[in-house]
Amino acid sequence: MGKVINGLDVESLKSLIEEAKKNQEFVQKINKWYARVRWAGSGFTFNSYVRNHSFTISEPSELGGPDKGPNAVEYVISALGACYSTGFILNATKRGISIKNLEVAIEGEIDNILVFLGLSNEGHPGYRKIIAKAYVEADCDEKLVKEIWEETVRTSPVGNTLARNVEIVPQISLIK
Amino acid sequence: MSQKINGVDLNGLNQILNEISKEKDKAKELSLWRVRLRWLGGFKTRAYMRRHSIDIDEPADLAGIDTAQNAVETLLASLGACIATTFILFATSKGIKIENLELAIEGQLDNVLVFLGLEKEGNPGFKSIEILAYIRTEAEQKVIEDLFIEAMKSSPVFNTLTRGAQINHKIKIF
Amino acid sequence: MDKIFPVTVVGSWPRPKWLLDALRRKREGKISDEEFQAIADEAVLIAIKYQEDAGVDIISDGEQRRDNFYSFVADKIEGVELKTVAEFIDFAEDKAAFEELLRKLDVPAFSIRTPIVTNFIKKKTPIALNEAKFLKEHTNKKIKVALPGPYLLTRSSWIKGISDKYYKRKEDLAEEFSKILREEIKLLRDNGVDFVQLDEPVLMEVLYGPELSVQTFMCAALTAKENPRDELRFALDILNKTVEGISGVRLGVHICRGNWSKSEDAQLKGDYYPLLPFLLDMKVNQYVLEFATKRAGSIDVFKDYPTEKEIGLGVVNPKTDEVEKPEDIINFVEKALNYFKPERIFLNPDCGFGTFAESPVNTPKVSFLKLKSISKAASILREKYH
Repeated sequence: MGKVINGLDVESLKSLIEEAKKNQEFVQKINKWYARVRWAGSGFTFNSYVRNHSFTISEPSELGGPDKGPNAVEYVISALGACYSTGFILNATKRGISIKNLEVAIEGEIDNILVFLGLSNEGHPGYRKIIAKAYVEADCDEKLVKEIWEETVRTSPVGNTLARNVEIVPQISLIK
Repeated sequence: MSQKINGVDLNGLNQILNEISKEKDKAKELSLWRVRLRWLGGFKTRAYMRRHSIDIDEPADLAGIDTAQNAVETLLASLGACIATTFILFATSKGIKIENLELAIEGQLDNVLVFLGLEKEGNPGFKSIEILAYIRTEAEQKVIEDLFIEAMKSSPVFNTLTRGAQINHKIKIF
Repeated sequence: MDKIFPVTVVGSWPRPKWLLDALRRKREGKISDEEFQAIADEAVLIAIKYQEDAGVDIISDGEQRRDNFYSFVADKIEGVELKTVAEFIDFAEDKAAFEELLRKLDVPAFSIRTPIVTNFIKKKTPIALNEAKFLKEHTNKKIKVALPGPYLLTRSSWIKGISDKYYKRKEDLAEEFSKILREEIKLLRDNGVDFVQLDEPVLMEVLYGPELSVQTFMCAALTAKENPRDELRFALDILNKTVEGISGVRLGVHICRGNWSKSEDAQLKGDYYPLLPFLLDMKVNQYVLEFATKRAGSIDVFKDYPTEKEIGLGVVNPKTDEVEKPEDIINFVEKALNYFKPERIFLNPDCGFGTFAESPVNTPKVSFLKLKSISKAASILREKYH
């Protein structure tokens, strides 16, 4: 094993990036992602299955759920925070910069929650504004850390998904 | 005894809806969601919210140790769960019994090479997302199809993804 | 003397819609098992008629009473319950493999049922005796009954976290299935069954599943990560334990690469070569193998493994709409004659035409024409090689 920075083997990270440069099949594979969500059969609890992982998505009691896990909008901002963290560590490691601590605090504001509840038609029930705050501890030039952060935000898959418009296509099958 | 449909107490639900529609503060409170993520080394992070926490990691072929799903998978799952939640909410309010509900979600990133820093231009986010909904119920096909589309359009995550949210960010160095 | 190149089937026949409706109503508890069996009797008579008219020499009942070739045992054995993938996915070791399968089939997890061991097992009623008796009463032809093999049953029904409370290791469960099946084979023999076929499709999965990462829900345990050789040895031992020393009935083992949809891409691929050393040690009379599909590779794999056993040669692909020509079938059989004597070659389709009740791979019409084509080829071959 080669040099390890931020818990990542620098050499294998580089070879992964090299692989993405020349292997079209690999790129296609990591361009596509899947999830399956199953209703647990009673109330607002859902189990999600992703590859060999599974997790529970629920609603808090204020929204009539049993609060068996975070809810969907909390998962969304978690995904955003995790995506920023991943990107930040990736970009820092590529430059050989070691990070001591990283924490991201996210807050999202729904435009009009009443639309979701079927109580209003004004505005929309999605996030209007999301604020992400990163706290970084590292022994290096502040300017460089900021540059890495800017790059991370610009190239974040989840960040871009949330900020742009995605086409979502549903298909409904009634099963006997 | 109160009536339960789809495991949801109808009276309780109506009471909640009633309260939220009357009290502005309540709606405001439910409009704000917060999460804090801590980096755990490598590509692993733990997100904390209220009394819950979840882990997010990258698969082995993306240099993670695959202890959990990654960020984009989490996003797809949250979209599915959000639409499913809204669907169950709307079906329950209308008194429609759902026996089974399962969503298979597939998302296509526009250009992952931007994320890897190999290309400068383009969108590293999802370009399109396909949702296959499998539903078992005695209700009619048309009713369910309409209900599903209505639920989807009222889903917070669906709206966030299709409209584009404004993201502000800050960094503090210690 | 029996004629050479007998024509037979692997088992299932596409079910009529009214039978599927009845099957659903039985599952929902809306009709009794007795009512269902009476409806299924009619469907069996149709399946018999089709096979007789097509000139099949050894016929089956088309598996009309079963929802598929193995999960029907849940009704016959105590301690085995039909569970949906949705119900046990949290216990499955390789969830990703199930996800891939659900995507390939475009079905939800709640729609696929598989038998899972949820208690100590014990035979409730004979597994296929009612099928055999009805078939025997309504035909003068020789009859064949397929049973799920002991390895298939074990691999599909033993799930860590559920079944290990009763059977610590899957080997312990295999012993029990083996005993039940052994008893059943003797019972079928004593009631006039000429040919008992054990279905072991999972064997191909042990070999070719991991690389392709397309595994079936028949493998609930999905323990293919183990060394394939050890796994095959285990399968061989348990199969031999089930059949060893039983005489008075023709015993076959059927091994294929999946038959759950028409799509060739959704099935496994790879030849029989790595399996042959194990196959040759099986104490059965006949190997019922697929060769019509390209995915099965060449018959020349027998070059290095000469055998005196019989072969049930798959000569038509049940999944395709095009009907194979008798000439092409003859050409292929003549290739097989390099490795098997004429009296040791049986002709059959690669697999059943309706392995899974709800998703048959063909229509009765095309299935009939395919069988007819085999019969035609067989009569020409008999002329030539008698």
